[in-house]
Parts: sequence; C-alpha cells; structure tokens
Amino acid sequence: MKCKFSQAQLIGYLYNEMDARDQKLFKTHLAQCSDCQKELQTLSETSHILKAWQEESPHLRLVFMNEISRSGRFWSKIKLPGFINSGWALAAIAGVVLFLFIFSWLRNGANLNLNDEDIADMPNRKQFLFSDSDAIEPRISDFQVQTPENNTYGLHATLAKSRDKKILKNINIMANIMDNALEEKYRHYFHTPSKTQGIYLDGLGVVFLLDKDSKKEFLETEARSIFKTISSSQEVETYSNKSRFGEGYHTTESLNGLKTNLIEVVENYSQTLLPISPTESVVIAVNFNKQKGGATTRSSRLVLRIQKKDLDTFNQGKMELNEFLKKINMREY
Amino acid sequence: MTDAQLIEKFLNGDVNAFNTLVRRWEKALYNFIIRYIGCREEAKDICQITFIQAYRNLVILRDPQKFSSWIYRIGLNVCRDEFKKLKRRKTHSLNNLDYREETSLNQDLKMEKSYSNDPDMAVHNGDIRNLLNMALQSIAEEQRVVVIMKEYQGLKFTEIAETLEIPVNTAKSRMYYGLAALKKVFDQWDIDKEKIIYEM
Repeated sequence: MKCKFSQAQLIGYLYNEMDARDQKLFKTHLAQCSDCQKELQTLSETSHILKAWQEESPHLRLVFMNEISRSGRFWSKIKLPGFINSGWALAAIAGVVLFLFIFSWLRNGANLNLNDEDIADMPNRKQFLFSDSDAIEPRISDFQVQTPENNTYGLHATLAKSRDKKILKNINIMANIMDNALEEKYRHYFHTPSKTQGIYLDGLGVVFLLDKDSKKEFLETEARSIFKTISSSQEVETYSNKSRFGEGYHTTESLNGLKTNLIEVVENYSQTLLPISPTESVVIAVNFNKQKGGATTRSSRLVLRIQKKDLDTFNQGKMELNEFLKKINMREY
Repeated sequence: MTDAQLIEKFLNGDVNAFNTLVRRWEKALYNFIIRYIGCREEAKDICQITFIQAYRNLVILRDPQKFSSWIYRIGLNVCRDEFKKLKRRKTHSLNNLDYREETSLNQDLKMEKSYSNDPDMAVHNGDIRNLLNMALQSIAEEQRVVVIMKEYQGLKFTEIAETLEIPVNTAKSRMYYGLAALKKVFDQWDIDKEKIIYEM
C-alpha cells in the first residue's frame, strides 16, 4: 500500500473497529483511491471464504466435582485406628488420598449412599483424574467431603455407585491378577508401594490404578536387561539420566515392556471383564512416583485405554492382533 | 449470571458454577483449538486439559472480568505445548517393539493431504472444512491465531491484543498479513467466493 493509511487501519476499517474520526477520513480517502478499494475488496472476500467453516459441537462430557477433604465434622464420623490420631499419621494420610474427577454428565444429583467401608477407605486411595476420552492424570491432595446433608456429592459416591457386586468382584480379581503378573516379572526390578486398585465407573468402564516407584529405578533395571552389553553402572546412570528428561531411545523401550505385559494380562484374562459393557472401556493408569533422593522430577504417568468392544472382537477371533494393538490408545504425561 | 459472578461463586466453593462456565465456553474454546491445531481428536483433549488448568488456577486470576482472554490464552499455550509433543510422539507396535513415527495429527492430515494436490476435489466433495483447515495450517502461526480469533471467535482486536499480550496495531497487522497469505493460497488453488458459495 502506498497510501498514508496503514494496513492496520485498513483492517480496522474492514472490521469496523476504527474510531469515528479516522473512519470518516478513511471513507473519504477510499472514494478516491482504487488501490485501497481493491485491497479492501480482496480482504473482504478472503474473510467471507473463511466463514464457510461452520462451528462444531465438542461433545466433551466434562464435569468437575468437588474435592473431598478433611473437615472436622466429617472425620468425626470415621472410625480410625488409634494411632492415626497423631499429627504425623494424619498428615501422612492427608498426603495420600483418593481424588477422582469424573467427566460425564451428572445423572442423578443428590442420592448418595456412602457406606462406612467406603468412607473409611478414602484416605488410603490415590487421586486420579480422567475424562471421557483418555486423559488421565494423577493428583494427590486433601479433598473436601460432600455429604448428603448439604445436598452435593463427592465423586466417591460414584465409586460407591457400583451396585453390581459381580462387577466389583471381577474387577478385584483382575486387579489381583495384574498385581501377580507384574510382580512375578518385575519383583527384582522395582518396588510397588501399593496394590493395584480397580474402580468401576458406570458409563466409563473400569479403571485400574497402578502405582510404581521411581521410573528411574525401573528404567535402570530395564536398561540392564535390555542392553546386555551395559556393564558399568556409569553407563546405566547415563541412560537413566537421559530418561529423567523423557528423552532417549531407551525410555520408550523400557516402558514397552510394562505396556506389553499389561496388555497381555487384559487379553489373557478378558473373561474376567465380561460384565463390562462393550460401550465402556478398560483403562489402565500407571503412576510413576517421584524419584527418591537426588534431583526430583515430576511424577509421570502412563495411560492405556482399550475399548471393551475391541477387546471382545479380538477375543472372538474377529480381529487380528496387530489391528487390536493399534486400537489401544496410549498416552504418557 | 456473568463470568465474574460465576467465578466468585466457584471460589466460594460452588463447583457447579465452574461447570456452568465450562458449558458456556466449551464450544467457543473447542472451535478455536480445532482451527488452530487442525486435528479434531487432539482438540478435544486439549480442550479438556485447558479446563483442567483453568479449574486449578482460577484462584490466581486477578480480574475475573477478563476470563475470556484468560481461557483463550491457556488454550493457546496448551495447544503450543501439545503441538510440540505431537511432533515428538511415537506410536509403538507392542507386537515387535518396532517404531513408527506417526502422530494423530499426521493421520488427520494424511486424509487431508489427498486433497492438497487437488483442492478442487475438496471443494467438489463439499470438504470445505478440510480445505480451510489446510489453508489455515499453511500460514504463519502468529497470523493464524489472530485470524482464528477474529474470524471465528469474533473477538475484537483489543481483546485479541489482550489475550496475546501484543499491541492492538500488531494484532491488526498480523490479521492483514494473515488474510493476504490466505488469499495467495486460495488463488493457488483457484478458490474464490463464488466457488465456495456454489459448492455449499
């Protein structure tokens, strides 16, 4: 443009975001300047073409629920062992609680049946956050309890909502199988701080929550088994240091062992998951805890999600293994 | 109820107020993200991550009146982070532990690339969305953001400038260059207003 009006002013005029005085001046100029007329016309047409892309609906099914935390009134209802009344024990428990965000449409808002067993178990659970797709992310913190009295409800109510005892029983069986299978293979390699937990969520499916110690330790031992030529601890340290930052060939290589085993367990024991609806999913969320000592890294997690219908199709022999594996959604955070 | 009022309610403990904010903004945010990143599936994830971050950090938002700029800014930052991860992510065949570098972004674009040599086919097939997606992905990122915010989100340039933390005139200049770049792309593909309208 050779005129005194800038491109910014031209755009301002096009979108009617120019002050009245400048607009008047530009309009006068426009009447006499064919270059500006042509330019304005071109920009206007381009803008018009862009508008052909219609809006889409996201269908996110995203709902946040209140966190559940210690409150004097709530905790008075819990019968805790005597030693837990100490400050240290309470602080430790407070640091390890279950918080689960559920992303689904709320169906029946107020009815809440928290039994004593569920309530008593709450401090011992870990937090996980997951969505209707497959974003799962662990969090650990206190959470506020929502009680029937104040007519809201915590996500734990949804955990307690699984009234189908068979589903719960089968999920517990699968969780134990998972523990035994991994424990057998990895018992010399890493420490598992807590047993695998299985949670059923109506409409989503089953979520298996695994806790593993420092990924660095895991990768060190995996590096040794995979890279047999490695003999010096310095080399292992080097590889492990690379893995700390999530880079390096062996990071992915090492995790694949765990992924393969997890998938194998689900495949081999899929009959246990028969009560899960084909429209639901089997989710396995592995939380790698922070490294102990030395430099700290973020805890990281691995999430695998298998659509139940794909698992069923594969087990019926109607899907090849390669195709089934491709359908498994994996994310690392 | 305004965004600011909902935020106040949320900060006072009413999580449903946040859910109302989500309902109010999810469509706009999703459509912004999908046009920025060009991939539908990733857009859903990014949208969720954005709301999760907003949920966690709403307490530090200084001016609740500026929620819209803030949520777009978070969305954009998440997009940029995820885009970098997408480029690096590998998918793995668990069968033989072989690696294929294939991201879901590339998979989406693979479908679209079949049109890149023949945009006429995209128009003919009514694939306006793919066509415009390709066009937007072909221009500079800083221009794309402004174009999307203006053309699709309907933000004023002052709001765009606030969101991106740039001067208003810079936002307008980027809009100008963005539209000019898009015009070149459309000319290369022989796409014009009449053709788009006809095929729609």
